Amino acid sequence: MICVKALTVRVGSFALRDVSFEVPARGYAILMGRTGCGKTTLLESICGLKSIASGIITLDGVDVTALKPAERGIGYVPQDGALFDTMTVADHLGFALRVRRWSRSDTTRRVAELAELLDITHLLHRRPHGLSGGERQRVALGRALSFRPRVLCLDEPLSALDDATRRQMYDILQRAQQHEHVTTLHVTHNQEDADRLADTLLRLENGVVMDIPCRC
Amino acid sequence: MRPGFVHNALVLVLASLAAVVILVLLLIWNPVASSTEKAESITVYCAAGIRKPVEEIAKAYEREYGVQVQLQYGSSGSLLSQIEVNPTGDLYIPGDDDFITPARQKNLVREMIPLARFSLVLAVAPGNPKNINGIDDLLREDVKLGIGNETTAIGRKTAALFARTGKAEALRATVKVVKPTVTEIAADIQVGAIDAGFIWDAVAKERQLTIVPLAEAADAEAMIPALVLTSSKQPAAALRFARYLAAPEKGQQVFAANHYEPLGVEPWAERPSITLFSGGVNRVAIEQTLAQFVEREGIDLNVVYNGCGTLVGMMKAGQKPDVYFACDVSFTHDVLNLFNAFEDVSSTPMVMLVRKGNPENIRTLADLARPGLRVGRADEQLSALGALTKRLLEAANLYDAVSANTRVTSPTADFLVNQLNASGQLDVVIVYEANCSYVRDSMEIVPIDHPLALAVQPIGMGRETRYPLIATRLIEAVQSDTSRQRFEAAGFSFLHPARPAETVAP
Amino acid sequence: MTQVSPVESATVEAPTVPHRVGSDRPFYICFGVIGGFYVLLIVLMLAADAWRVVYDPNIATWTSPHAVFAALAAPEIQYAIWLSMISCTLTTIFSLWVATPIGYLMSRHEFRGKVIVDAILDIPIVLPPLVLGLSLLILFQFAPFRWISDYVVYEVPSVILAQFMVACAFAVRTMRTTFDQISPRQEQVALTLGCSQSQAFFAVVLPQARRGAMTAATLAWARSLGEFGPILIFAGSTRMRTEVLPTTVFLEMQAGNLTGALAVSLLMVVAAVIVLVLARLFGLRKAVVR
Repeated sequence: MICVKALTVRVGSFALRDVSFEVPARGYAILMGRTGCGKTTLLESICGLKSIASGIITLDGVDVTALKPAERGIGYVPQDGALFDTMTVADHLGFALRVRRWSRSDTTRRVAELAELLDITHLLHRRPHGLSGGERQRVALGRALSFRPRVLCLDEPLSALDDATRRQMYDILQRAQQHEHVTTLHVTHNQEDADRLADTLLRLENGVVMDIPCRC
Repeated sequence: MRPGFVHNALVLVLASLAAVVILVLLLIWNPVASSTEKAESITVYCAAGIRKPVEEIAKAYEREYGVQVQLQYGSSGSLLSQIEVNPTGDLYIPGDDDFITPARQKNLVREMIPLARFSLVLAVAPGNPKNINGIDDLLREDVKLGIGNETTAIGRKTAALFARTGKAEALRATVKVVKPTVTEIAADIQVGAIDAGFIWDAVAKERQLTIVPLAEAADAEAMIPALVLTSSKQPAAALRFARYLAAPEKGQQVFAANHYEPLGVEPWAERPSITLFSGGVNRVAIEQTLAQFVEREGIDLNVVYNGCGTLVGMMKAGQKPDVYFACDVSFTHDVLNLFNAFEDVSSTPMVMLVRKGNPENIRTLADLARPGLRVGRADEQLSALGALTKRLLEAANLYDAVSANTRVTSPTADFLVNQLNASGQLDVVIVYEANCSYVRDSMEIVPIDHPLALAVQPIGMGRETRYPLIATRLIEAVQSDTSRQRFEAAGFSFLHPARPAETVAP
Repeated sequence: MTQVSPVESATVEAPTVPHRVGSDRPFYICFGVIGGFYVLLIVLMLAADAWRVVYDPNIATWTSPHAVFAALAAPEIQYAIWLSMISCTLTTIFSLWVATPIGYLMSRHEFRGKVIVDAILDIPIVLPPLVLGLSLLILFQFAPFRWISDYVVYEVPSVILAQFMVACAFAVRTMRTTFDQISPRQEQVALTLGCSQSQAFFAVVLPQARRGAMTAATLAWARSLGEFGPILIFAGSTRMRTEVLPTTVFLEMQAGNLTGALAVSLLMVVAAVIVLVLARLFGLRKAVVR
């Protein structure tokens, strides 16, 4: 469960004011809004990458407002994927696990499991350079899911993909969410994403309030 | 292929650290420069009279540096004869300074380092029971006087003192006994065999005799020197021990404890380091001399060659070189307060440098005014050469005409030489002859017949130097006869008269 | 309003003549000529130097190659080469140590007085070399520098320090640009994946900065190799101790020994080219293997 309460964030002259909303546990929320309305800022605030002026963020009942990004347990997929140029796909999937000092065998098993889930087993030894858009997004998704986070934050993960790949990704996203049981917050400006994926729909307008008020 | 995290950082940091360690070790290991020969042992001829302090210091030196000091004792004179007959060994420490001149005359010794001083005093039994208060009291019937034999240092000094009083005859007549050594006279006073005696203050103090202050004895002093033997095959090691003997925190403590007046001023360092500022022009002339000096002395010499304007700037910024060798006298005016008197070492005439064969046929200064000639000069503000050139041209009434011909002005003379050498845009440059040593064969020098066409290079010792003796020896090396040849080869005239560095007329 | 005049519509119609693009050849010839001119200028300059070393036009005689090699074989020159190589490499490593954190902080963080810090970081580049040397000398007259002055001023460490002061400023600029060009996104992802700031830096940012670091190192190394103004003042020019190759060149020039100065300069160029090419090959190969 993601619960955001009275969140205020300032970035230069732009500001999100008094934003509150909630995503139920294991739900798949789609957050709609026009380009530049502050969607990315909101995601970054939840992930702890942007310092907030005021407000409270709780994940599964735990107040994470003061926690470092590393301690929040959020899988984050930024817009462009932001893959690590110097690492192989396998390195990507195992990255968070090695930070957490998982045993070598556990890491290998988890990497294989994710690769199969996302259908990237054949890419494990490749580097990001030369991967297609869909492949890149799957690697980024796998990397974000690898350490079994409670929450997954996706920032326009499908915006750069062609229609066929996009449809493919819908299936993969749904499969991944069901398999990993994560609460997902997916930011997009595409109505089709919402129609295909959302079980909760949110809308951000004018950088001020959510159209669905918080019920927590 | 698995990039760790801290692992990654650790590898980077450790690898670069290892690289630094290796490079620093390489620097220290230094394939060429490490020629610090360590002497196994040195041989010292030491006057028996100062055996006690020298032996103590030698022991300490052996302990500290593992160099064996072989001490040979004897009277100063017999040691000198021994050295003359069999020129081996490294250091000679006579009982007093009377032996310096004969040793120098026979060319047996080189460097001299003063160790300690003592003076002739009139000593009486403790408490002065006979109430002796002056020279005249010695003539009293009831006073028995003892003096040293005239073949010894103490005897000679006593005789000289007698002569100064003007009562030599009377005093000599009143002498009760003449003894061969100082210690015997002192012993006689102690046992009461005599009432008064002329001995060294160090001995008197050690035996706790009472010293009677005498106005006439004021100048009756002797100095103990350490002299490096010409025959020494390890002068650096010999000088090192001599410096140890003379170091205030080392040997001098022992001399003081033995009632000698310490004379050493240079602080101890196994390899002292001194700094020389030198005008760049002088480098060719002194470089070899400096290398030999460093080798012989076993010291570190930091040399800063630069334009003299820059050097003066550095000194004004607070640098205090031990020795400064300027390009021209004009570069000493601003820093006179930092140095003892400057001595002129060399001079170099200003000349006209032209291409081989003198295609423009330049013979005299007046030729420079010829229309169309392309002249290079040094900058009047930036360099001494420029200022001297201006003075010269003005004196010859050529300044305006030559200025019209001047194609380029440069901050230093060497620039001009290289500009003439490297390009075809100049016909003649006015530089020091000393700038031309490397282009002798490819260029032609036309002398300027004018008394103002001259620069003079002075050398001076820093007033605050910690090593005045080493600095003095460095200056002497630059002024030596061997140095003269190098100066003349580099196009300088040597101004210093032949120095008594190696050979001396009696 | 509903009618659209045919004349008006004709103005926006594509012209009947098909659009043609001229040959691209002039473009490349032009760029090639301009670029080639500069490269050629550098090469010709060195060739002229080399020619001048072996042939003296003023007296139309050949310098015996023996004399040139004898000059280069002198222990003083060999020591200068040795010291130059080692001190430059040390300086480069130190510069990277310092430039990496500064470059990172300046690139990623906003803080009060950043403009001033930025300006300060450029001072060593702007300061005339002589003044830099003089300033170092003056600095070492004050505590706590004064206490180590005996081991630094006019000794080998002063050579490295003088080189470092300038080289590091260049390395800082390069590293900063490098970090500017690396998107902070990847670092942020690493943070959400559980990394501390330092883990994210070493695991994600630094590997990507390899090329930039290589450039910074090359620049720092080359700068230090050519450095002599501050060294001449701060380290002196003691043969076999603090004399580096540019000092040798300067002193030979001052003595009017053009041939010697040029020979040493050419040696310096050869050494620099060898080291830089090796470094680049090594750096790139490693980057590919990784």
